[in-house]
Amino acid sequence: MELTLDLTFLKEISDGDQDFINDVLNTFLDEMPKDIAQMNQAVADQDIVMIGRMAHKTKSTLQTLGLFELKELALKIEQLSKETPKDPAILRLSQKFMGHIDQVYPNVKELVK
Amino acid sequence: MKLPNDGIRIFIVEDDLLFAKTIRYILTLNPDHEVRVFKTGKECLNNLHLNPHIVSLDYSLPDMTGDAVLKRIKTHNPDIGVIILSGQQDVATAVELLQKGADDYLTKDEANKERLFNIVEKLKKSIFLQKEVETLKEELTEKYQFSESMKGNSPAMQKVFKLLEKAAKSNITVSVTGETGTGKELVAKSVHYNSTRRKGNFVAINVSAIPKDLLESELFGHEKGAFTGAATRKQGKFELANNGTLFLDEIGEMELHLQAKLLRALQEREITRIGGNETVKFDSRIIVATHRNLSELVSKGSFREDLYYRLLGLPIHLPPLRQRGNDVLILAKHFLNMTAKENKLGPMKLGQTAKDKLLSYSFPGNIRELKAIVELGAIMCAGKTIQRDDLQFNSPKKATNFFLEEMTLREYNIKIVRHYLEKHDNHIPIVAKILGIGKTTIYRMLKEDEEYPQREA
Repeated sequence: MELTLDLTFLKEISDGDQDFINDVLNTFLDEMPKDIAQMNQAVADQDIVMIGRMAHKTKSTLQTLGLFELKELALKIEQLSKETPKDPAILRLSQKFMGHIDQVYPNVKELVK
Repeated sequence: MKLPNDGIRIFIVEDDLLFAKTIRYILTLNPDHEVRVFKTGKECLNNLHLNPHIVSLDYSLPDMTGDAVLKRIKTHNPDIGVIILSGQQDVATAVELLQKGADDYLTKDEANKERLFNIVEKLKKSIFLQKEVETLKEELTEKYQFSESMKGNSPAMQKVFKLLEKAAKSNITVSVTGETGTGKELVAKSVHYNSTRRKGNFVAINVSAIPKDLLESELFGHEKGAFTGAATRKQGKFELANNGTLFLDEIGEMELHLQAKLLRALQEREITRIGGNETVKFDSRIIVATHRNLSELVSKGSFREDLYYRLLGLPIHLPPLRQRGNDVLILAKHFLNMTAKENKLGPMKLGQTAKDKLLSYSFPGNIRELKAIVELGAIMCAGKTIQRDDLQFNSPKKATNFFLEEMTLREYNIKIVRHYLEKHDNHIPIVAKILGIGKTTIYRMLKEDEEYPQREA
């Protein structure tokens, strides 16, 4: 799984405005743990609707930061939650997803200048 | 909080704060955009009183569906432009929302600077167009306020003003009569723009100006293929005037078979397009006008009596200008100011000789003629004050209205002599013979008349 951020999109829209990029990265560091905590709770509760919701919510963030493989994983979880909510793969993939996000935080911190 | 004239207030409704910040950054690159972010549908709805122009709406929010938020936004103000932002896999839902009133959609994968700007600019154009239409409508309303559009202090016009106010406050059919050029269409517009129907269309049709074969189609519309040349369905004036006012000018010229169809439409408040079966309801105020005496036409059998009574409603008769006394000068001054302004001539006024000349004339062409005379006078005038000689009366009806001008007997005599001289190439002996007076009498009269150009011997 590719966990390195691709900031091409952010650099393009901001002409490399580092203040803006820092703001976005800090927002990720502030907000993503809250979402992951909610997702973790939903996994514990086997609340498939909430798992799907949180997966849906993180997609646009992951797309913006160029974490495309993680975004695809979130999309897969979201789709399974809607289409086959009893599929045990949902819980397994969610655990995997949260583990990858944990590994992303240091990469993000490195990019904040 | 008010925005500057060109400012656009945009709401971003998005629960993903990072993505919302990105969109906000892009949109605020244009300093005319004021952008606010709301994380839930409820927050957005609670702030609609701030009157956003555009809302970027995530279709999947934590507290409400995009459908519900869209509906509430459009109920609050249908002119707010709503862009649906969705994931690629949710395009079907986004398209469904387009059918429910959203103005555009964008997938989040495509939400780059160019796409966002294009969509926002497209919505801005439509918003500014809407604003322009509203401003124009307000200007029209102001223009047709009774005090602005119709001038006059004469008792005859004061009576008209009172009737106009009654007409504007009600929904009654109004029938306007008066000679050509007395301002019948202006009356109709004033009633419309001072009534509760002013937000609807004012649709005018001159019955005498439309070829007879086309009039029915113009009034009632037609279906595709109804007749040769009917390539598409066309709405008629009744449909176009729905919620507004339909002004039927020169109603006395309408043919009998069409009068029957008009009567039915007015009775049933519905029409059927030519070549169609579907009935279309309409809700319009009807104002009719004619320069003819409709009751006489009824007596002659060329106008249906039942339609006459249906259209009579509130009758407003516009007096001819020659019966309006000093209104001539009030109107002349008004037209002079307008002409001076439109042609950048600076302040102008009417001299006493010009005023006397205007007051002594009968204006067979009424206000339309007065306007033309004053406009030409302002252009021809060498200085800033219009004099007698700057005003030229060229009415084709002047011979038939000879006695309507108030003149002394001496002036009438001179006028008669001048008329025949003009007719016979200034040949005094011939004119003397025709009029049965001596040549010396004519010479004397011409000498007395300073205006008469002396003929070379």
